[in-house]
Amino acid sequence: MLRDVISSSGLAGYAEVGLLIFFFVFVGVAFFALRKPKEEIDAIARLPLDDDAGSSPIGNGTPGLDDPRRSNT
Amino acid sequence: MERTETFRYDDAIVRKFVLATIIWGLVGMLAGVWIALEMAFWQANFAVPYLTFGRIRPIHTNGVIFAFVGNAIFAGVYYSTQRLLKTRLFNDVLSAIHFWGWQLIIVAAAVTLSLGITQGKEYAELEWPIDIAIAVVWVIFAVNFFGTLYRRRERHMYVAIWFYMASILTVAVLHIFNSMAMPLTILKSYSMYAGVQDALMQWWYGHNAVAFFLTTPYLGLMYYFLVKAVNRPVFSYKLSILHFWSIVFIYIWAGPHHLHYTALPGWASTLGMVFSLMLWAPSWGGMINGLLTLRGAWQRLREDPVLKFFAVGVTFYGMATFEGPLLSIKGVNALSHYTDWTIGHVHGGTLGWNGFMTFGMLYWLVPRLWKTELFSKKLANAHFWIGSLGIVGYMIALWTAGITQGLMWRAFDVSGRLTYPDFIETVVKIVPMYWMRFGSGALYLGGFLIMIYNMVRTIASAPKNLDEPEQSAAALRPWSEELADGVPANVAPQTYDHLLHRVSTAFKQGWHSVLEAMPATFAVLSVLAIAVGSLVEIIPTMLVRSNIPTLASVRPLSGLELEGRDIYIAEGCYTCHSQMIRPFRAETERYGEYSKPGESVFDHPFQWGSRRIGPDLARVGGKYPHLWHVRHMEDPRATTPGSIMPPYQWLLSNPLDLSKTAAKLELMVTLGVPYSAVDIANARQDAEKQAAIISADIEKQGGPKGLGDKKLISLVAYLQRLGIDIKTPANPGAPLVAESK
Repeated sequence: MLRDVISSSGLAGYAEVGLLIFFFVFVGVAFFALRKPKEEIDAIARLPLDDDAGSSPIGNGTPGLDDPRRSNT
Repeated sequence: MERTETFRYDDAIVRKFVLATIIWGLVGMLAGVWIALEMAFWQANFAVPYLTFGRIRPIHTNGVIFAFVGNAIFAGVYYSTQRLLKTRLFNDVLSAIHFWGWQLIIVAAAVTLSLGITQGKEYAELEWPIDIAIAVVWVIFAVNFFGTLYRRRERHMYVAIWFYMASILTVAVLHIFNSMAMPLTILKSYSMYAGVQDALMQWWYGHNAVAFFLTTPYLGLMYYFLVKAVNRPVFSYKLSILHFWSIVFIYIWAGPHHLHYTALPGWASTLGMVFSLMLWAPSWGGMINGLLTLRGAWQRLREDPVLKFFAVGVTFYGMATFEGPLLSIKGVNALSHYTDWTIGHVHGGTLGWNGFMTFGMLYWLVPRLWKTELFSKKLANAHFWIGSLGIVGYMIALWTAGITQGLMWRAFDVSGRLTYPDFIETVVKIVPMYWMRFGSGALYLGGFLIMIYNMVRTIASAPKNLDEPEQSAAALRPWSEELADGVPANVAPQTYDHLLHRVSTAFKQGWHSVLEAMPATFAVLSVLAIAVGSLVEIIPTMLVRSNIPTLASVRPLSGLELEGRDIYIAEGCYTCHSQMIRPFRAETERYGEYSKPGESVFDHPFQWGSRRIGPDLARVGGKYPHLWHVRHMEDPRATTPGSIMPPYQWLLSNPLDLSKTAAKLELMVTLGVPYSAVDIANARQDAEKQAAIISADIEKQGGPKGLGDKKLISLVAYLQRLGIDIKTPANPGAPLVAESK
């Protein structure tokens, strides 16, 4: 029943629509990503490195063997 | 103005997931090495049902994907998300339910799979109650994750968070839609879909499980842990935005490349190939971004095992994502499909990318989580080299095995006949490669054991008090407040002007910042991205009739044959045998007429298979006498010298249970298989009658007596039925394939 209804409702065109949505969203994302100001991008890119900021003196666990902080402490 | 808040990260839950990763990794890899041995040395099946290849193989795949990689994802996501968002996980109780729920599911999976309780769909074998449990635990994970997001103290969501978000949402969608099944009992159900539709659904799921379980979460982990280990920001953040959206958009379309030259409609398989080729770009975008992040740290690569694992892991990601699109090209796939080449490709990705990224993460994380130092850097380096050697050996063995066997299958001699008409010749030829695969897998496992020892010693040196130190961070101002900053003082609140000013302030920060500040909107867009591809791919074959031509001569299986099919699924026969003859001369010469889409319309679930460790069975019906099958199941080497198939003696003695046959037929009717009321009412008698005829025949041919009420009889009935329907047209003058539109 449901199958009959949907198969006669001409959904085939939705494939083209889907492809167009895909294409334009992608172009939009690319456009906005590339024109984003450099300072903002750099700030976000540094997020994983700043996650100890403001923590107690012990910091985020003892630095491991590979941690560059080891040479400083 | 800024309010500072104090809080503590929840690292106890991360420690739990880390331990689970290590324990399940051992189990999953051990199972993998075991089945590798079974292929080289059939005696390792021990003629015990619970240890046969067909049952252990799903334990291996589920074990390494959902138990090892799954727990590693949870550990990494929970550790990094808290830090990237500067907040504790949303709810400790939800975290605990998530952890213990997932471990229980893994135990249930291992037990049911070895008992032969399976839905028979690759990487989605678990029966419906476990499927529901997975969905529940996954939702708990999602609530915990999005709740953490809601409580964050960092406005911007770092790219790793997007990868996690897309993975969580997509895996939920994939799991729910592929697992749709009609339950018969608490431990048995049948897929809602059949034949072509089931195949398409399965590989839409299967491929995207690779995408959204093995790839996107790990890219997120790469963008956090690699950056932490190198201690410098990612090479290009813009590239990470770009390749995130491309991967999310493109991956979802690629599934049909697993079904080239099958009975899948041609347009769907071409669509899958084109999008697979497009995937090349964003995948390499990710790889290049990861590798170039290591720039300036190359000198540390020599001594730091963490960076070694990450560098090689990312390189294997690049290799696997180069090979994947290559294998999706129809011409290449014609050779590679059903061979070990595919298995080699998958292991390049899993052993190299998932395995090595996990090891790198663990070597970095464990000393920090346990507030100590790594026990031995030397052992970590040894692990790295042994593991690398294992991967290279594994891939060489399977490339060689796959290409050799593929070429032997299609070789013709000068007289135009198959050079190797006996399938077994092509198996015996590659058994040495199976030994090499076993050795390489054992090496990789050996490296893993070294890591376990290293970790145990590291954790043993941990201080008693592992309490997390107190952290402090500025509270996040409500976004509405931040936006109001940009509104001139003379504009009254609650007016249209006020709203416009706020909107313009938002957009001054850039379109993507708006999106990043609104996780819910972001999530909806990600789901939309995957929904577009999924719907375009799946809806037409579900709903447009002309995509699956029906065949007038194809009838449903008899009750006895259906019981045999259940044994076929329970024993995992589909892990080694396909039922899908492709339209190539090499295949039609060897197996017979190529498979038509209309032939599997009653198959819930489909049994096309994905690998030919043994020959295709789509037209095995009537090829051998009944007695041949009895002898073959009892001792495969009695009929096929050199065979690597395990013996199935217990099928000759275990009684056949016909008490549920009528209920099975009834359930099939609800799924659209045309059984009549009479068929259902007489199900038992009919099955017994058919069993008696077959067992009498076996006796007459000189075989064992009294097989009529044994499991084997139903399996023989099923095998003898395979592929014969289209050979018996109602009208001999009519064309073999009657297509109805």
